[in-house]
Parts: sequence; structure tokens; C-alpha cells
Amino acid sequence: MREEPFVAFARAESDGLVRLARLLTGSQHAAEDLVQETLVRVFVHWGKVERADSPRAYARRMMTNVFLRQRERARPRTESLDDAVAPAVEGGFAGVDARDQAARALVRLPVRQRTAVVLRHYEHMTESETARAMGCSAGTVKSLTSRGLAALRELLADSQDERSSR
Amino acid sequence: MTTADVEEALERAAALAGPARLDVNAIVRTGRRRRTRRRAAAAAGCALALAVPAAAVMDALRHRPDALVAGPADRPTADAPTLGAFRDAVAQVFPEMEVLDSRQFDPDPMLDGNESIYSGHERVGGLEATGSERDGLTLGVNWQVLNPHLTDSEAERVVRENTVVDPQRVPAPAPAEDVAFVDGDGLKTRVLRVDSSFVAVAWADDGTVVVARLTGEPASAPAPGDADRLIEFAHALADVPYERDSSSQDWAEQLAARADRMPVVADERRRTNAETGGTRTVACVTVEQAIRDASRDWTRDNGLDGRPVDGTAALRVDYLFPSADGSGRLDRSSVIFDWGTGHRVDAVSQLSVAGGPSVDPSVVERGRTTCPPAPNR
Repeated sequence: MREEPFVAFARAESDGLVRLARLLTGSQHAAEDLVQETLVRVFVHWGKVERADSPRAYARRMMTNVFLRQRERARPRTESLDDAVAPAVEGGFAGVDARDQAARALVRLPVRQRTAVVLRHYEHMTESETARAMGCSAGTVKSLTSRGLAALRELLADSQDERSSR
Repeated sequence: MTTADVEEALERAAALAGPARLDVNAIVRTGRRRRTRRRAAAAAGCALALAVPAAAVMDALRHRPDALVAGPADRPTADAPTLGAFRDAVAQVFPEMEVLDSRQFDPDPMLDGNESIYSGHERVGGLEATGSERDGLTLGVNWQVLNPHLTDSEAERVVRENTVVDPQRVPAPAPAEDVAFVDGDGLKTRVLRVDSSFVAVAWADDGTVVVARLTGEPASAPAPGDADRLIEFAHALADVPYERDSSSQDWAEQLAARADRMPVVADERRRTNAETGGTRTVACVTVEQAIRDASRDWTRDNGLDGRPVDGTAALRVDYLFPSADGSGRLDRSSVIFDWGTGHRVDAVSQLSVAGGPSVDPSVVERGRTTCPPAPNR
């Protein structure tokens, strides 16, 4: 196996994968661990990944699968938001606060709802792509996304109310 | 709050992520180690897939040394090994045996040879090892081995007209038999048979050693402590110098001699003999299902979840691999597949009890499994 294409792929995709992993896990450290494990698997199956229509999408599917499997094995598990502050501050503290509120709201969703919402509305995967990534039916994705969005709206609205009442 | 607002919130949350602090070189090193382990495990599975049909047929032939017929599986894949490759594999065990192509009896390749010849699985002890080409490694043989040890008039006709084995030439059972061999792509694999157990040992060029033991009945499913025994066994085997030009028989004799000096193996052989009354038996359908699914698992990211299979056997693959600290020490890990359910399990205690249509539980409970009929597909 020629390793250079994998190395180039890993370097090009790692930031994007970490952002997605950050949404799924709620923690920078957990996100980096998840991406590392995903990239190891991508390496092992590089031949298949490289031949896929979209290696980028394939890697994201693998990461979703790894994440859900890890969560299944590890539950119950508490979420850590200790490092939920951006290393670089853009938009001042109000901006950080808004991002933090969104992250905190997201991590309060049940894992599968969170995954469905993130894949559908951050990664902009279709229902069938999301279903494939999550290993469930498109109907389940629809249901998970709908409930996840409703819960997320409520949580975000609550946090906005809290901020405006300060 | 609109969906667009939610999406904006997600973008904001994603922006919390710092730049990826990943060591791609370390990922590559880990990936190389893991890939070697997977390939070695797959090689061990491949060796078992080759060995078990031949060995099962060997068993059956001892009871009724009539014929060996090989035909395409009912769901052949485009990348399946050829009949020639299968013949080569069988020839390692039965150098003088002719392998017949079942299609000569029924030219319709869409029909399962078994059904077309014998009109019913229940009269045939059948065995099939299925695999496919993944990452340059062939994981099995996609040919069906049939042994008509239960006959009807048509089977008898086929047997009569196509007897290919002289019973006198069937080799006598050895204490431990080297029943298959795979060499290539940086891997060397041997399968050793000890009574009803099959042990495949694969060595990779980087020092990784994989031991896969196949058990044909729940009574001999891996027990606590077995991993240590197998690992000890693997070390002993690995000490046997392997020379490419040495004959298979020489190597097998060394292995057999080595195995005889290993008390744990000898004990296990005595135990198995006591349980089976000295009869060597193989649950061939169970083994076939197990190999096929275990082999598939090694080629998939998602394991065996959701694909139940009939069967009663268990496979544990024990991995030995060079420690990451570079000390030269071997670390170990293992995976157990429950072939009753097709799922990977964490502990031997989670293995399912005998079940499914292919094995009579009462037979299994007595610690003995005879060749069951092939399952209906």
C-alpha cells in the first residue's frame, strides 16, 4: 500500500473531522481520540476508502460508526465540558458564550438524536446517507432528527432567555 | 427558532474545536500494526477454511470412503477461488484424490450442486467454506465439499460411477496433523489438527503471531485459561524452524513431536478422546458457517451484528503482536466469536448453547457431535 495518499488525506481532513467529532463528543480531547481511532481504521481500509465515491464521506461514516459503538460499550458515561471553550476568541466573550451554549445544548441530547441532528444539519447528509452512517432506517433518522431538533430548539431558546435576563 | 438558526448554532458549536493535534505518523504506525494483525487473523481463518473441509471429509471418508465431490457454492462470488485452487488445497491432504466438479452432474450453474445431485440436504453431510478476496488476501474457498455418507439410489449411483478414493490409501490419522498451509504476502500460516480441534497459527514478517483455534462443539468451547495454553502452544510452534523447502511432512512431524511434548495439548487430547469415546468427530456445518462469518467479520468494519447464523461452535482468535514499547515483548489480545449467534462476545460464559436446526442438542449435551446435515439455505 502506498501510504502517501493516506497521509495527504489525513492531513487535509483532520481539522474537519475534529470539528464534527467535537459536536458528537462535546469535548476536544474525546474528539481528537475519536478522529485518531477513525484515521487508524481509514488507514487499515485505505484501499476501500480510496475507491469509494467520496473518501471524505466514507471517513465520516466510519467515524460515526466508531462513535456510536464506543458509546454503546461505554454507557452510561458523563459528558465533560471542561474544555468547551474555544482556544481562539472570535467575536468577544459574547461570541464564546453563544458557541458554548450551543455546545452545551447539543451535548444534552441523547446520543443518537445528537448524531442524527449533527449529520443532517451540520454535515448536511441526506436522510439515507445518515441512515447508512448510523446503521438504521431512514424512518428512524427522520424520527431522531425531528425529536432532536425540537429538543435542541427548546434548549437553545432557554439559554437565550437566560442570557437576555442577565 | 428556525432550522437555519439551529444550523447556525451547530456551526458556532463546531467552531469551538481547536485545530487537530494529531500525529499522523503515529496513526500510520498504529494502522500498520493493526493491519498486520487483521491480515494474520484472516490468514489463520483462511487456513482453517481450507483445512476444515478437507479434514471433515477425511473424517467422513473413514466412515464411508466413497467419493469427494466439489461444486460451486449456491452463492458464488466473482472473485471466488477456482476449482483448481480448491483441488490444490485438497491435494495437500489427499495427494491422490481426484476432486470432481459437481457441475458435470448438473450443468445448471444456478443450482446448488448438492440439491441437484442428491435432492435433499438431509441425506448429505455437506460442508462449504466461503470467502472472498479482500485487500489482496483470499479468505476462503468458495467451493462446496459434499460427502454422500448417507445415500439414496441416486447418490449410490454417483458414488459407484465416480469413486475416486481407494479406502486403503486414506492416510491414517496422526496424533496431530498439519492439514493446510498458506504462504504469501508476508504471512506464513499452518493449521494443525489435534483431535476435533483445529489450530491455525499465522506468522507475519513483523513478528505478529496469530493463533486461531476452531472447536466443533460447545463442550470444547474455549475455557478460561485456554488463551494461555494456546499462546504457549504458539510459542512452541513458532520455535519450530520453518524452511520453505522442507516438505510438509517434515514440518508436520516436527509440529506433532512438539505438540506431543506439550502437556496441556496432550491433556486436552485425552480429554477430547474420553468425551467422544475415542471417535474423532467434526460438526462440519457448524464449522463451515463459523468460518464463513468469522472471515467476513475480519473484512468488515461493522462486525457480525445483525446477521445470525445457525451453529454451535466458537472461534477464539488469540493475537500476539509486538509490544508497542519496542521491547520485543509480545502483547496479547483475543476475540471470541459465538457462532451460535454470529456475534462477537466478551466472555466464554456468553456463548450460546447448542441450537439451530443443524445439530441435535441432546447429541451435543453428551459431549459428542456427529456430522449434521447441511442447513437448508
